[in-house]
Amino acid sequence: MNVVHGYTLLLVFLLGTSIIFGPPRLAPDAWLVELIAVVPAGALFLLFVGLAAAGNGGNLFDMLDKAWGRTIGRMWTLCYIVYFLYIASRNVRDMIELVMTSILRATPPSVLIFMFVLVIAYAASGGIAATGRLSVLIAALVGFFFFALALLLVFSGSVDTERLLPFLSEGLAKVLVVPLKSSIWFPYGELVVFLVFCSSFGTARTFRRTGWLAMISACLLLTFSDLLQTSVLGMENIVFSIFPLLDAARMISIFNFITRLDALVALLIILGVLVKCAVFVHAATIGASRTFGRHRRFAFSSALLVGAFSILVTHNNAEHFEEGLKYVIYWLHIPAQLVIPAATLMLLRIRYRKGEREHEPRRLHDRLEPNRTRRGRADA
Amino acid sequence: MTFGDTDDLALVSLRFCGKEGLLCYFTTLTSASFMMNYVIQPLAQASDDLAGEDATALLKEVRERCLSGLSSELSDQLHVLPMKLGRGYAALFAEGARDCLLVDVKELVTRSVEEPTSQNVIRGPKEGFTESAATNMSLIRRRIVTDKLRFERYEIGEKTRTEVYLAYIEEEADEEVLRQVREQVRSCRMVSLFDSGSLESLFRPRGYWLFPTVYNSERPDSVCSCLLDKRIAVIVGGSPFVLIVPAIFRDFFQSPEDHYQWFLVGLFARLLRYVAFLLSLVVPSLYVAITSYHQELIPTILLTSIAAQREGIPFPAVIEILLMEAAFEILREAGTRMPRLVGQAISIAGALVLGEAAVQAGIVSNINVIVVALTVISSYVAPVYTFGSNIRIFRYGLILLASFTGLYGVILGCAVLMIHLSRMETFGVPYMSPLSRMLGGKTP
Repeated sequence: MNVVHGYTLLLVFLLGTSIIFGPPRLAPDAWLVELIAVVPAGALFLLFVGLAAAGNGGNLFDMLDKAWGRTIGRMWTLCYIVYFLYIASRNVRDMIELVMTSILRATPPSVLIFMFVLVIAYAASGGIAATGRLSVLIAALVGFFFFALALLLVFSGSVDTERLLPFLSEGLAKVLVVPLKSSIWFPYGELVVFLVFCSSFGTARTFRRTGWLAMISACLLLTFSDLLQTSVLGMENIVFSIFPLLDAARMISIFNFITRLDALVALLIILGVLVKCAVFVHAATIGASRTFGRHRRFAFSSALLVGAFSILVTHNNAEHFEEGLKYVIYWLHIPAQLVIPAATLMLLRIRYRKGEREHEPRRLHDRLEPNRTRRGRADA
Repeated sequence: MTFGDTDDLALVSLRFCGKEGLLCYFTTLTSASFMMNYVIQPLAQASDDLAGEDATALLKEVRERCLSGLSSELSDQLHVLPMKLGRGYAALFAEGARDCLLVDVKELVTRSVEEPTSQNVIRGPKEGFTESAATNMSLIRRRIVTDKLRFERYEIGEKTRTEVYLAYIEEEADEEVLRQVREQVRSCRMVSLFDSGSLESLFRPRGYWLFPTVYNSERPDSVCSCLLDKRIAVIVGGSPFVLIVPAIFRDFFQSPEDHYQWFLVGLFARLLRYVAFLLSLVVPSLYVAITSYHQELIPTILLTSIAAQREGIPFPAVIEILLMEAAFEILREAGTRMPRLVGQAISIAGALVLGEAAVQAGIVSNINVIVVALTVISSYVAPVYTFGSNIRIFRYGLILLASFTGLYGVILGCAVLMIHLSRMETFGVPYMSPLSRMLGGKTP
């Protein structure tokens, strides 16, 4: 995977769902929240980079094994697999909710989800390099349609920058606190999944550079998106909107000829969620085939799990968003994105200081390798 | 002799240099005047002082003095004889000699170099490849004057023994790709090979059949520019279509003419082809999706006009589209296979009966005819015919998806196509490299 593929993959991953939802409306001036969030998120990413450097070319699961030993490491691996699949299924649910409200109101969601899940399995089984190339195509499409939406909004006269006022009506403190509660965990913190693929990004240094670059560009795009949504809908209305970009797009009307561009918004989220889910499912399959020790493809079965749980995970839309904004952040995001990585990094630093290399537990990978060569020779 | 008493085997006994000789060749692979002028006459005129006591030495002398202009060889292995005679050699036996002299006397009637029929340009060279591999190689050799141009000869086909040449520019072409191509060609087992199209499946990556990964051209200028672009050409005797590997997505949207015009015109034409490709893929499915699921996306005035047109039509949009597409497919197939003289009849039947009459009879709507016509026309914009033909199958899949799940299905179908494209690799080169090429990816 070359640098550009890596960059667009990260960018599409970050924009995937958040370009539709924007930051939660915990404070006015959401765009400022979005702009500020990149600073702590960048720091969090530094933790991932540190882990990637300490992992010495291994993936996340190798690091966990190395740091915690085989048994506990495996337990954490399983936890991460479940976490990845859960996030993927939440993303599918997000997408389906939007599709159901915008373009297909009567089709049973299970049919739509089944179709989507097949596509995810196909994308995930292609490997990370193919996903990287895919993301270039999708980035081009998403970028094109997003800017088309913005232009059409401007031309239809719906943009009024006065709606951005009053500025900082509840003080600076609130704006500074909110990112810590939400934005850095979603979408930026979800970059933790790329620890599974960090060796594909090259060295830890290129990983850091690509990551930061993608985060800054994503941050700018999201800020622009927020500014656009707020200046179209106004601060009062946007609080009640579940899909602000969709509601903004519905304001488009050019000479009563180009109207109702819901389909474009649906296209944005379908393609974005596709890339996100492909990455998550691919990461989970790597973990699964490692834990269960079989060189089998888990892509299809994991994707089916994602689909099933996207239906089972919550009863209705309101519960889904409530869970996403409150419980998932405290019970899943913070442990999986901050606590475990930080603890793992600390353990790695303590256990593998200079000169203590001989204690290094043999990695699962090394143990499997001789077997494979022996079998290969027998075949020959 | 293994040939039995086939009528075209000539056994001419003649006397040269004081010895009895027998000349044996196929009259169907050479011409009488060629034999007379270049073989029999020099032999007959050969002075008797060549005559030595050793017949083998005599044959050697004859070869060097009388027939030095023709490619020839001395051989004492009788089992190669049938193969050599079949390739257009004449065998000369002399009394008392163990060896025989094999002389290449092949002279075949070939089509002269004409304008290519399937890849036309308005501006640019009008020469096209022919069925003769030798002519084709000459057309390449005269364009690229370099000592690095190589032709490698292979034979494929148990019965046909078709000659296959790999053409490449040494030190330019990728060694790894070259190795793989050689391996594929060597390991190829076929009974017969009549056209390069049968070879294409050799170079296709497993599981990816939707898009062609081999470029074929009957234009020497296009093949030469590909050779200079570090690729490998495969010339098959008997086929005017030369294959080029590895080929990527971008290649199928380029016509050599793009480079012979002002660059903006070429750029515009290329962009137009991409757009036409997209149109041919999604227009019918978008029509089905929008008219049956998302009427709100159509501006109201247009919507009422479409609804008025469709008022008397008994079918849902998807049946209507499929009917019309099937009619066009049949028309297209008939158009390519029929004798040229009845071409007028087909176009009248197609244009009048299928277009006008079907609308007036209330079977299909006007807008439907427009949609299908647009699709069909845009699917022929791709400069390489095979590219458009495979993708047709996918178009029907998209139409069905659109009829079940509307725009959602169309978007997912396009996503599958994008995933497919980004997963594809030919000879280690990603199929979608046009996007990554300028960005430091591996170039073909």
